[in-house]
Amino acid sequence: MSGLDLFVLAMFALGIAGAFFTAFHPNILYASISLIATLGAVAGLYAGLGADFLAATQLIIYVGGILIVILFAVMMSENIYKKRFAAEAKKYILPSIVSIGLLALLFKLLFSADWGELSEISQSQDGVTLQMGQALSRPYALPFQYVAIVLLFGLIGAVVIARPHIGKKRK
Amino acid sequence: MSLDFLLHPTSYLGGVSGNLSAYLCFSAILFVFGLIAALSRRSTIGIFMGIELILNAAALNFVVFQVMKKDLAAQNWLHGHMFSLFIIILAAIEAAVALAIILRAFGSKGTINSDRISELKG
Amino acid sequence: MEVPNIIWMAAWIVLLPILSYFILCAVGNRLPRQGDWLSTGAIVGSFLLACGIFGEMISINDPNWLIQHSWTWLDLSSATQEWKLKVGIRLDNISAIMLLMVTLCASLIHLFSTGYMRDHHGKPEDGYRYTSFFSYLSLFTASMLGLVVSDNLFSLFVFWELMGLCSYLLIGFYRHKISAANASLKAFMTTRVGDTGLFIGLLALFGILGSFRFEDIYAGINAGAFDGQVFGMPAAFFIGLMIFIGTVGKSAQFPLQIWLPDAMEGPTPVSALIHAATMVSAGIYLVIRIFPILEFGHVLTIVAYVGAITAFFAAVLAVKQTDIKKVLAYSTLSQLGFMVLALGVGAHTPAFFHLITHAVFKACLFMSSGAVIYAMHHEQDMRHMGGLKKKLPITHAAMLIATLAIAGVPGFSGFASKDMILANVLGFGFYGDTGHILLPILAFSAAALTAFYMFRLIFMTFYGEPHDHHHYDEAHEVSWNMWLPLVILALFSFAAWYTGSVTGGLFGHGTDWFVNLTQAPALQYRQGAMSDHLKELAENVHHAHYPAMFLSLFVASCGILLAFLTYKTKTFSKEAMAARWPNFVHKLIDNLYYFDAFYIKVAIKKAFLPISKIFAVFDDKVIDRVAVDGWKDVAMVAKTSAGFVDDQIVDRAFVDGLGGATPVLVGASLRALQNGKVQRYMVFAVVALMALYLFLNLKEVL
Repeated sequence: MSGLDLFVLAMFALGIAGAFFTAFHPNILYASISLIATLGAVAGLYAGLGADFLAATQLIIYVGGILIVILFAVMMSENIYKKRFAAEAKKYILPSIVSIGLLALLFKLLFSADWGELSEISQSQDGVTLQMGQALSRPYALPFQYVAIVLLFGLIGAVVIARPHIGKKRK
Repeated sequence: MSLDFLLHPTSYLGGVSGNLSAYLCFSAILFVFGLIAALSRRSTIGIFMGIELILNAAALNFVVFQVMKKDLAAQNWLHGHMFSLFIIILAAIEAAVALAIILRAFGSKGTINSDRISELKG
Repeated sequence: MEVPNIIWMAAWIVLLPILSYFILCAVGNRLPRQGDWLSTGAIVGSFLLACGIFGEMISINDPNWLIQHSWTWLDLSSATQEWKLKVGIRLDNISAIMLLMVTLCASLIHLFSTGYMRDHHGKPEDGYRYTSFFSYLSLFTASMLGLVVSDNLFSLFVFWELMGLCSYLLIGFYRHKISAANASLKAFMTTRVGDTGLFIGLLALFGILGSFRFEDIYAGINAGAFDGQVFGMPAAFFIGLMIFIGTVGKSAQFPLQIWLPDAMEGPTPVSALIHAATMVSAGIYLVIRIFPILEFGHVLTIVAYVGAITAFFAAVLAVKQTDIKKVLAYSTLSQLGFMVLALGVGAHTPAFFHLITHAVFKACLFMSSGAVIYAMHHEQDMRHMGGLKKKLPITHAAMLIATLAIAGVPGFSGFASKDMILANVLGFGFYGDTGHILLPILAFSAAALTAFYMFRLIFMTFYGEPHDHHHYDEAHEVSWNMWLPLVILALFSFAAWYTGSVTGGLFGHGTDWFVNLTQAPALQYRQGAMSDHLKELAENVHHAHYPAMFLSLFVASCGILLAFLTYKTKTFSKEAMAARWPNFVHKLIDNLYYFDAFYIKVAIKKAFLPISKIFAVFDDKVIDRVAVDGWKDVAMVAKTSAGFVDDQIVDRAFVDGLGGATPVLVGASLRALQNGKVQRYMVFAVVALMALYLFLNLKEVL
């Protein structure tokens, strides 16, 4: 077993544990902290797959950006230390049954499919950042600009939505 | 690939970093936990976190296929990586808008319990 | 590859209104006149470009003229398998004529709206919403134009849905009126039923063919790509039927016709745009495009009967309406039925011909009615009108010409196209297979009724004594930007433009340029056995030509004469005429054949609500039992059953209390499927997804 294998296994374990607590932890604050673990594990897996740029992006945007926003939202909206959602455990029953059925279906699909030829993971020294940059500036130039515009409008929209007094006259 | 991977995990440990099914299983599990969170959390933020998990599972799959499948790996432009990148960017947008909506709903309703925010009811 | 200039012209036709939409959205309010000139200018620009394309087409004068170019939108091909999604522009005779018609009608409707959407002092109604109105109009027109130039069903579907959205926005434009809000929802939801069918058809098509392009579809038919089966049905039949369901929704055919009359709640220019020139035509246009699949899959008989039923029963409804716009709405239904019927008997060209002529004269009729309504200060009831000929001479002249056209009087465009349709139907159902004798009977009765109810409208509105002196005295002719469109459209309601020597001489070739040019495009792909039916039809039509012409003239003059005797000279008493019919006929008509009631009482209350209640019971009883035990259980059951009863009673009172009223259709359907908890729907979605997968792959999973 190589070092990479150990690392990947550790990431699997971390990711699944984090996902479990994200789904089931009664306290939303701890759930969001365990979400950090899962997202970090996915970043680790990206790195293990040789997608270094994506690993960095995942860390910066998800762990550094989105999660901070989530934590802020949790703290601003929930009285986290008083409110516990565990009392409504029965709400988990139906979704869990359905989801586990879906999981079984996915596994069945996964192991019965023919995935064809598999290639070795190439861990070159340069990584794929250069290749991704080229892809972003050539075939994906337009989609990239498009996403940038969507991001801009999304952020403007978020500001407009979050400010309760916008558009109304101040009294 | 067969169910052997689940029955005798140790015999496959040697190649886990290059095992397509292992990654796919992991992302399937991630997806299902995300689904459970999205379907059962009372708090709107919890639902949102579940959706983030689902998105991550999908993005990971794109990269895994790009790297592991021979005919895809031979391609120049790394389509799988690009899809993941766009998923991450769109997730960032989604986070901004969703959390703005959550804060606004909290401001006007005083709760983020998804069962209490039922304006859709006809 | 070099992209031909003409393709760029077609692209700009679509882009100009889209640009105007975005500019109006961003800064519309700050522009002088709130930007109505921008929207109008953009569509006039499109019109000029469309004229260019049309000129090119006419000068080439080739029935097989076709220029297309497509771009790869999504390329996910791997080394072993090609997987490309292409979108592009297709210009042939049909789309060039269609572009000209849509841009002409839309430009005139925009111009008309600059008058209609203002009050009598020239002030925009409803303040800043004036800008939104024009931005919606622009977006709507752009989507229609995009649909027309699409070379594939995928982008066609995108524009199709965009149009659905715009129709929702425009029909519900007077949002302070509850009836308008409900009508817009109803239109949206009803067309959605059809769109689901269309979407399923598209998926099946892509699964079989791997492409959405018309070019590949036509080639695939010859190559035998559709010989397989889908869900145990022949592939072409299934796909054709599903796509036709989309048309049934969009073009308001039986049995999804219920939304169109309600859609009259929108402003009148919207009615002219949606129900004459664009949205409802889109459905017919789609059928024209996929005509080869329909024929290959033997769907046409179903198509013909749907069309004939719609044409006749809508015409019957139109006879009893008193709202001027409702008459026109039912007449639109009926005329669309004619087109679908024509397509159903295999008469591709007459259907397209009628599509164009109908769009022109129906736009004229709607806008004339708009001018009347405007002059009467938003009075729509014909019983309060009368004698308006003196007050509105130009409107009267334009509306009379358009009415002569729709009634099928020789010399006007409607006669030329409707006569061709009737000849084909007669050839199909009488000279051909007499088993389908019902089709010509329904078609000719509908033609007679058309002439009758349209002249009834004219006589009730413009002739006789005024019934409401208050409005009558105030009425005066509308301003130039409202009567000019009427006059232009009325001019194009003469047959000479389409068949006569005027245009033939103008364009330098035979008299029947329209028919010659639109003959082949969709049909040239047919080979061998497929064309037998059409050959036979052509032969039968040959026999049927003169009888059909005399018959159609006869029924039209009967209708007009009857209307004249009843409503002008009052020789016949309309009360006596009404009394001749048994009571149940009146009840049937007054209740619109109980369609709305059926959808509410049977489809929704008996089917949807019980299913959702089963889920509710399962959820409340079974899940609760599992989760909660002992006294808690008892308490919970008591509580939920109390809630259940409450729900039941409230539900019943709500639904029954409002009876057959239209809004309930929307309300009840929403209520049945939704309990307001998003997560519950998501659970159902996941279950449905799994069920679908298991259903499709039953063998593999087991």
